[in-house]
Amino acid sequence: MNAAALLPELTVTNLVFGVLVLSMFLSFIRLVRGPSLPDRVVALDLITVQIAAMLAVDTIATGQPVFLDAAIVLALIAFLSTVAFARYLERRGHDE
Amino acid sequence: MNEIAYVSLLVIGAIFLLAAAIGVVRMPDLFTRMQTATKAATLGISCTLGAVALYMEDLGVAMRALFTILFFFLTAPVAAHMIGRAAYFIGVPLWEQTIIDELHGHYDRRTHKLARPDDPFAVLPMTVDLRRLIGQTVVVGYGRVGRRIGEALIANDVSIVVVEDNREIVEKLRESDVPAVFGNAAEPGVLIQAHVHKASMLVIATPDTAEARRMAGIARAANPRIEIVVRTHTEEEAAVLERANTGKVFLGEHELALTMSRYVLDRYRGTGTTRN
Repeated sequence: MNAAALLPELTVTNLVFGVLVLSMFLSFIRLVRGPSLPDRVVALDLITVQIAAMLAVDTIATGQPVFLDAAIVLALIAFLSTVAFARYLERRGHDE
Repeated sequence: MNEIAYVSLLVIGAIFLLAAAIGVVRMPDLFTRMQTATKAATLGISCTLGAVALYMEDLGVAMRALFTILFFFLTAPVAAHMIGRAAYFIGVPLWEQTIIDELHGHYDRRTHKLARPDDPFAVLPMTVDLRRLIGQTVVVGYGRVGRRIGEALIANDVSIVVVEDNREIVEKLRESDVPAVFGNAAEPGVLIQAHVHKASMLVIATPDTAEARRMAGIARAANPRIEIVVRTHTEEEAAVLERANTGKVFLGEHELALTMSRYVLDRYRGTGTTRN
């Protein structure tokens, strides 16, 4: 395939990558600010979803589906860690 | 045709993911942030993966993408619920403009179980002598303050009914033959269970002033002649309560100072000297 045929994919994916990076930056603000531990857990979960989205967009950009499995693994890890955090928080009974 | 489909899905997905991020930064409390972070993000990632499924010619890849979407749909609500529940129990503050907290008082503090609607502790048992439910004193809260008040009243043969949102305390009180109702007195219906409409006095021994005002409102509505005694801890709250004509207001530090100064004065008068 020549560059001209790839053009629509590249333009859109670059745009979407840019938007995703911006989203990650915003989530990072919440991760740093807190103020409570569950806030940070939610922000981290969101960042993981955004990374999975980037992996998906990369699949379109390069045409190679290698990273798609990593996306589902990331989703799994995010879910399990969120659940683990939640159980830990509920057991502990107080914040921070 | 295909191009329009996956490009638009990609763009929609990115927009929703951005919306989720903006929401998580801008929303006023944890629960609203969680709402945007899970709903918008799940939709965003689903659209993005849907675009992948449409773009890739390979059926295997498309199926993987669709399974990932399914996975997100299954796990995001569960994770969100668990975090929200844990956050609620550890006391993460709600947005201060929250109008109503519907869960308040319905959860047992220790076991984190939802109180059943036909909860036996939420209503007085039939075995309670009805004579004790007329002209009684309703004591709300059996903690550090309420317990002492309750014990003093019982020792002086005043019939009381206790309202507490701690099940163990309600259980123990019932075992020692003190009528007790489990629930949050600030909620409609709970004070009625304590027969506040027939009571002569209401003693609010819980520290929260906003709740105290609600309790006083409910009690007055059910029983306009009831006498109300309320506890508070700051002067501003005391002023608010007195302006609203809630009842006899007792300010914690004021009472402490009163009792301590009385003791000191008694000591001076008693011995006539500062040294002994």
